[in-house]
Amino acid sequence: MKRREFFREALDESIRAAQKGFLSLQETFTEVNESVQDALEGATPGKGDFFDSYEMSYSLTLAYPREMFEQMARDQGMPYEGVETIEIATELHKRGVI
Amino acid sequence: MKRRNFLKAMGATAAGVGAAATIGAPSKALAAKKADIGECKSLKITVLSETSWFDNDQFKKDIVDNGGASTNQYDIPWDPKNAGGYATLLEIEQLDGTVNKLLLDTGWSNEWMDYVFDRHGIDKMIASKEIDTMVISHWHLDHYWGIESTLKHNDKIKIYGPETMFPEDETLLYGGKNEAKGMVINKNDVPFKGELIKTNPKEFYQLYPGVAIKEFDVPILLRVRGENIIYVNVKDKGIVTVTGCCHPGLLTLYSTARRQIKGGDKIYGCYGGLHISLFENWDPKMDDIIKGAKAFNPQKMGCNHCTGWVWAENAAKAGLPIVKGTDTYKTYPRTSAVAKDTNVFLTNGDTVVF
Repeated sequence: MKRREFFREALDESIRAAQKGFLSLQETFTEVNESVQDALEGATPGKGDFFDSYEMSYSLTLAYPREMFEQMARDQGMPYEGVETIEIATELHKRGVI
Repeated sequence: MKRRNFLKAMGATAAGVGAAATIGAPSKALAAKKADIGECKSLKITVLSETSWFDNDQFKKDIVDNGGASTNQYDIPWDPKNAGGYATLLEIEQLDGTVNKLLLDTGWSNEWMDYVFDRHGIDKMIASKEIDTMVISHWHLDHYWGIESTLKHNDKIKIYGPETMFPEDETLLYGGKNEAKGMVINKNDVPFKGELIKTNPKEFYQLYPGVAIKEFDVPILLRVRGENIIYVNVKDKGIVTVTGCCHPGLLTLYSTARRQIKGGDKIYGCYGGLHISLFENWDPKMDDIIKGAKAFNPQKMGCNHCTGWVWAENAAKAGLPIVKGTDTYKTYPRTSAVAKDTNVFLTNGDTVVF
């Protein structure tokens, strides 16, 4: 193998490795949302707010059946059809219901 | 440009040289503020009871029929036949070989908890002061209303409970009863005479080397607020979180460990309820909880109770290291209506060592 070809192959190999590493890094970042990324980086997740995302608030917003939130919203006279559970929960929290 | 966008861009040039391995590193600025909770050699968990109730449908019906999830838990005439309870024994082996025993929670039904404590010798451990401390994770009925089952063996046991305590909780603790719609829903004939340490979110409360409590002030349904989390730092392994229900959320727990505990950037695992699929309901967003948990690379996950079998099954399939249970739970006089022979998670009578 000529010296020039050797360096070209070595360069191609380096670029392929770099691309693979980049894709791996990109995959890590795209698989989890911002709250998780913040936590992984050692920062306060999201805005530091429990209701920032489902990842932060799942123990309340996902753990209970949707109809329980609808019942609470109905009792408060709040709209709930087509409204995300996390939005209903946030408003209920603002009103001091939960 | 935000830090993560900057990192993404950096990835293009830094890739291939192990850049991904640096993602989880906490900032040095934060490291300076971290609490040193020490280290222990190992942690053994015994699942005394994770069956807080036996019939999900009945529990849900009691809530819905009495005004819904925002109703005060003390205003609901709960079906007494459905009451079980949550309690866990922690055995912490210190680096010098000493073993500390700690009780987490005291269940709901006194009849059930008396059976559970007798079966595992907890009653004798409390009476002999081998167990001299109990942590109340939060003031929910299934973790706290069985207080008499503990106090009858030692009314001076030291208790750590969240500062977000309501008058009805105090009535029960200091010897009293509560009624809902004319029905006695709980009682305690043994007034508490020991020290109650009300925990707040500002501090870490160190119990033993490698073991500390942190309170998180989070909204919880049925008019309860705040939960105590036990952090255990196992030498050469990392942080293990022990929870009653994990109302703050696993992400918050792990992120707090990273930011506030020395050595907390190394997550080893968890034990307890994770409060994900309480009534075995499934939402595609729960896949994101699996992805989020995987990002922290836990090595051992002991879960049960409010985690939900359905989530645990899906998490195990997705590669999370969920510790399987055994058939021991079948030797208890009652089992949960949703218990499965797949033994996908730890249940009554099982043990796990971290």
